[in-house]
Amino acid sequence: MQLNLSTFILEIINFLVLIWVLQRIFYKPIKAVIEKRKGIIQHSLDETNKLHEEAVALKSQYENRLSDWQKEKNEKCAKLRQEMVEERAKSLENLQSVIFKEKEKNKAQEARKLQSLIQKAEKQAEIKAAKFASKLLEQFATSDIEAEIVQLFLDQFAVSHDDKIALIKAELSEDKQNSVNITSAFALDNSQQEAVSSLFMRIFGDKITFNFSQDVNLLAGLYVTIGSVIIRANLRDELRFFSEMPFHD
Amino acid sequence: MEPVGTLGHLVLHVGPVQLTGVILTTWIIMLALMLFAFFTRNLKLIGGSCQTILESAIIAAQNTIEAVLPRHAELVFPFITTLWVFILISNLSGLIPGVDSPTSDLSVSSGLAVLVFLSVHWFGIKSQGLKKYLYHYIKPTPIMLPFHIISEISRTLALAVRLFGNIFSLQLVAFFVLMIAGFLVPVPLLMLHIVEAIIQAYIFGMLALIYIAGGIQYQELKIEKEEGEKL
Repeated sequence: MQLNLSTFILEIINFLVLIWVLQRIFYKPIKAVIEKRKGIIQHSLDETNKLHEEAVALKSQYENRLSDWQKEKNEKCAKLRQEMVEERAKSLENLQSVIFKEKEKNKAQEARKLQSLIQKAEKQAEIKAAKFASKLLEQFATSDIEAEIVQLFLDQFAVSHDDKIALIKAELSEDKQNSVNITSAFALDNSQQEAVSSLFMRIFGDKITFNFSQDVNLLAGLYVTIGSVIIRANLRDELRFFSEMPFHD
Repeated sequence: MEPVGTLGHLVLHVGPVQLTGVILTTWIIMLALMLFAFFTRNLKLIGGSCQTILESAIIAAQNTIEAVLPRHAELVFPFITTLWVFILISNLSGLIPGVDSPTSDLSVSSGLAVLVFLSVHWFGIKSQGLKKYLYHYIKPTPIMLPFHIISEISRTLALAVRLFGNIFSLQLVAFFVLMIAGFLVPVPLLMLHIVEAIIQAYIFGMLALIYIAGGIQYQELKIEKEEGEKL
């Protein structure tokens, strides 16, 4: 255990040199790398924190926006519901009005249809009634009835048929002989032919020739044609007249 | 007692300077450290496992220094870290057959202890100035001056002898056991050598750090107290 002065001094110098060398080629580069890495990590952390803060701000903003949207949505939903209720009430009212009008229209149509059916039925009933009456009267259409009708014609023609008389007079030509066609259901006897002839000659003058014929379809009575004028005094035409006459309550 | 290794016996004379085997061993260690440092120049941001170990060691050293001396960690970092590295490698070099640990030489451990002694004053004066630094030797009373001086000398002496004694005795015991018991018996003792090498390097560095911190922080505490009184 000796203290060597040369070793002592050289050791001090060696150590100081070692400190100097290691400081430059060992500690500094390693520290620089560590610091650089720390800087990068710190930069990344700062960036991350910044991004985090931005994300938090955006999250907050989006939450606020979502809240606003939710509020707006609720308001619009309530408004829409109100509008729907109003629109439904309005539509319902319109529909009820249309249905009411349609009902009224249908009712009127039904009434018209019913009226038409009633009229048709009445018409058919009248026709049937006329046919029935015609059939019934055929049984009673005898020469006596015809004689009665001829007598009634002779009594009333000159009195109550002025309009027809005027027409016939206008129809008749004074210069030439006019013909009068008289058709009866039963053959007229001479007295009846003479009575009818004298009636016409008395009213229209003596330039008239008479043609007597028979048509059983007349049932009973006369069918007279003078020019374009027709005089119906028979049961067939009377029944037809009644059947075609409008029905009144 | 003579060194037990082969290089320990070597003595070269260069003029008035004696180059002992310990100095040669120290140079070899220095050269190895410099080469190692030179080949680790190409550091990358994302390094491999070797770089990670190196960085972890440097960060651990820095954290330890900052824990004791937070404001002047950068100032004392090279000195304290080099002490740890050099003493550790020197202690472990004794495991190589034929090589003596430089720290098992009293001249080396004394040189390192004297460096610590000087560095305490150097950092103290550098941080607060010569006058203020020397002022603390007469505080709280000038009577304490001799005790402060004795304390400075004794702790430096203790540093030197502690390191020398531990490493030298360890080598001597390993040598005797190897001589007496044979080839494989000293293996546990060699394991103990590794542990002891690490512990002694750590103790020497930490004591140096605490001494330096004591010199610097005494001044800082005083200033802080004065500033507090002014406020």
